[in-house]
Amino acid sequence: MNNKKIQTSYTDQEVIEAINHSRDLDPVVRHLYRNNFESVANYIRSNSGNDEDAEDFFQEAIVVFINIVRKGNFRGDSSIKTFLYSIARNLWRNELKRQNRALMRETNNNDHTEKEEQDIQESICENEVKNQLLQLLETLGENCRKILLLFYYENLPMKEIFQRMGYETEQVARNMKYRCMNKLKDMLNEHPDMKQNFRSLLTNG
Amino acid sequence: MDNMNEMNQAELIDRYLQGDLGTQELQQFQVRMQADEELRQTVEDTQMAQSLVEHYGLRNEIKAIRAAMQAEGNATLPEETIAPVVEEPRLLTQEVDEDVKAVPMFQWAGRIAAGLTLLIVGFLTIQYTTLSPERLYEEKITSESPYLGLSNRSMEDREDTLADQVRVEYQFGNYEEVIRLYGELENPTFAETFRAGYAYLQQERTEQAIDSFQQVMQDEDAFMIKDKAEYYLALAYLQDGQIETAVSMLEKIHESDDHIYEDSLSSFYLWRLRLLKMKY
Repeated sequence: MNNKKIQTSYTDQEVIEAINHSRDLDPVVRHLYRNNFESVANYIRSNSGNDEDAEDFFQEAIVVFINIVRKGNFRGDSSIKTFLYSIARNLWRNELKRQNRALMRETNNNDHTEKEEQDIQESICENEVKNQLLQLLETLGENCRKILLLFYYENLPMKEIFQRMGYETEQVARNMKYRCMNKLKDMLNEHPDMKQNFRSLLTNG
Repeated sequence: MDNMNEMNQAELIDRYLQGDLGTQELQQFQVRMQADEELRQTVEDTQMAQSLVEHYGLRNEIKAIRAAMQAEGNATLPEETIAPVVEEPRLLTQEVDEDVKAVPMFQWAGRIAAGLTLLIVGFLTIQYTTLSPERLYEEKITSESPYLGLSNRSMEDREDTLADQVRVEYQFGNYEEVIRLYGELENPTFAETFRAGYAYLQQERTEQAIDSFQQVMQDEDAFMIKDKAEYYLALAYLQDGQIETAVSMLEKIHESDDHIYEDSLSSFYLWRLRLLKMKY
């Protein structure tokens, strides 16, 4: 009998490797929640937030963290716990600023470098711009959204996509993907300001 | 440029952005980009659109994982719900009037103790009388199928479309269809057997659910989902009324620090399971 079990606990190095190389994010995301959610939630609850805010902003922090790691910008100068906490704190600060509210209780947890702080701020900025544009995907239509996700997010080959989507041939799926991508690009063109912001972030990143 | 050429170019751009071009092809493409502003623009637009799709996918995946964690963990009553039983007397002592103050403290202590005892007895009676394997099972099972964590990409090279259909129907919760398609598979893998097991569980075909999860547990290649199979096998035993076996398996899961369902079983749920064992 094989004694290997699904990994549920990770060192910081293993988290980074799993995010960069594993096809399955499930166990590593669960690990991040188990080890970091409560401290972030306590911070948010102590600063005018509620449980729902804690859920939303921790989820956002994980997205930002994964993007930083995948861009190779997590250098391990501070622990993942400190880093993730810092991302969530920055996100929540921005939210309070947006609502013209002040922090009630600030914790001094600056165990990270200036460069890390800069990376976090840039990634949060990029995240916000992308979030503003997400509505485009919502209005793209289910089939278009699905085929683009299967190809660009799941990285599935066209021969598998056409079967899963129920198209008659691979060529039909290729045409569909091409049309959907053009539709999405057209939608982006309808928002020139946001597109320009997005472009400058991608160029600088 | 005609439509076919445009499509070929779009696919070339995809391959460029995914880093899939060979050295020579890459050099040629870079030279073209330097000379062709329109092409450079198209590459940028494609990169933005792709990045947006990836962002959408990542957010949704994390949201789904969190939802699964909550569904696995929240089905039980939070332990805090017992707290008011202890909190009640404090309120009583804070609200006493002058006459009541004249009553000796030990009498109050006695009344409080009696009140507490009544509340605890009442609570235990309700728990005991309403406790059933069905109730504990229902608290843990959700209509949403558990995410297996076996990436679709691992199936890239497979031609078995029936297996793909099993996976899709499972994801959409069409359990009757999962069972039907599973029956047509000649050589099901442990993943399809797990999905069939879960479908049987949902359809209350308990014996077949138990058999499927046992098969997954015995499959050496299934180590990735062994914890999930073990957890749902325990729930299948619970559904089947095999209480001792179910309780012993769930206790073992709760005590195992590295079991992925360890967090899903609260001490309160375990306590009720033990109570259930006493009852039956």
